[in-house]
Amino acid sequence: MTDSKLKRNALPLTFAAVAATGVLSSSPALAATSTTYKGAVAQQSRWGPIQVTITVRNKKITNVKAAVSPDNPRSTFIESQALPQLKQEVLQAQNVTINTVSGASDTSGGYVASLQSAVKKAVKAKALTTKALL
Amino acid sequence: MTAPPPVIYGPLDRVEHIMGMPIGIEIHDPEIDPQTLDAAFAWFRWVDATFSTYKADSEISRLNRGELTLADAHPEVRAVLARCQELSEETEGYFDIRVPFLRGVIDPSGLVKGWSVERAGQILAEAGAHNYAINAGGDIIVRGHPPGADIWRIGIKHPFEHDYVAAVVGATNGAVATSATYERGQHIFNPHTGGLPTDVLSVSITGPDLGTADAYATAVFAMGQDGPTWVATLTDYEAMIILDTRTVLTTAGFSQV
Repeated sequence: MTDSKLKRNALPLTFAAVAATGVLSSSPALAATSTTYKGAVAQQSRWGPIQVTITVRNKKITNVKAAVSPDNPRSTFIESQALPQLKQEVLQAQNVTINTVSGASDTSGGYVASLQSAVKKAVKAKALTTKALL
Repeated sequence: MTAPPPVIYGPLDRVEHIMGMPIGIEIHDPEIDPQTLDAAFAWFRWVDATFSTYKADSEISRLNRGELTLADAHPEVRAVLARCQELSEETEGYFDIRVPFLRGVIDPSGLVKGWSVERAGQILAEAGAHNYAINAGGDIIVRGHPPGADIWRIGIKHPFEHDYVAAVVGATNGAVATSATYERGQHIFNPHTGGLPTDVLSVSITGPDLGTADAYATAVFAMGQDGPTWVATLTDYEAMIILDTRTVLTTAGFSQV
């Protein structure tokens, strides 16, 4: 049953893996081929302004890093006082009569399409090859 | 001269594949002109041609290439993008139409679907329909009731068991949107950390407006562990969140039947 969790898109998973590896040390030998691309600064963040930086080295995205204001760290746990407002149950599978079903949106494929177009742009700039994300 | 007898139509039911997804419309009122369905689907095709990020000649694609300025864009495009900005602010930046890693490129499809469904509903209402449902790729609006029942029963897809539902929402007038991982993989990107949420399987939002519900569902999914805290602050919208611990969290007003 948990197979569903494994059937994740290869493309975003690449980013998940990259994000998990953390900052790679920049040795002088590699610095020549390492380029960072900074994203636009997002003002609308609960942690204040934030900026995402990607590092491309040897035609691969080697790091995805988000810079936030250090005195405003991200909370990692659901605040305990909020939970009593939410009812908590164990997930059940129901086989009942319904009129229609709400499920994951298909247009979210637009995200992948957009990412692919971003990759195409990076490829055009010769910073990446498509292999980097496949 | 006697008046011609009234033409009795309905129920009307049609599914078309537009914007990369099946869109189903069912109308359960007598005397609704079948051309109402034509008009509603024509609207969806116009939305697709105008907002699609897949179509090179859409206004969004032309905006992204810098060939069209916002000032010259269609008023509907400007209205949608303005609403996207509001939703970004409402969701503390978690609803974000900017495409990751690509400066200046936007993809407003997270709002366009729900927004266009609401507008299609208006087309049906203006044609005299009171009892109808529109399901666009799993995001739904309902009005009135289905035949032989007082309320619409809307299943929330189970994240693992594809032939089952995890809950049933009852509604006579409202919207249900769901963001989840099970169909297209982990697609919702946390715009703040550059990472992907792993602790939430499915987020369903109910409320008066489908575009807003859809954007909230996307944002709450991206919030991950912070999502439950945020939905507890909402007033007109209710939420059901399925965590990967198989725990289901619902706000007090989430209407299960």
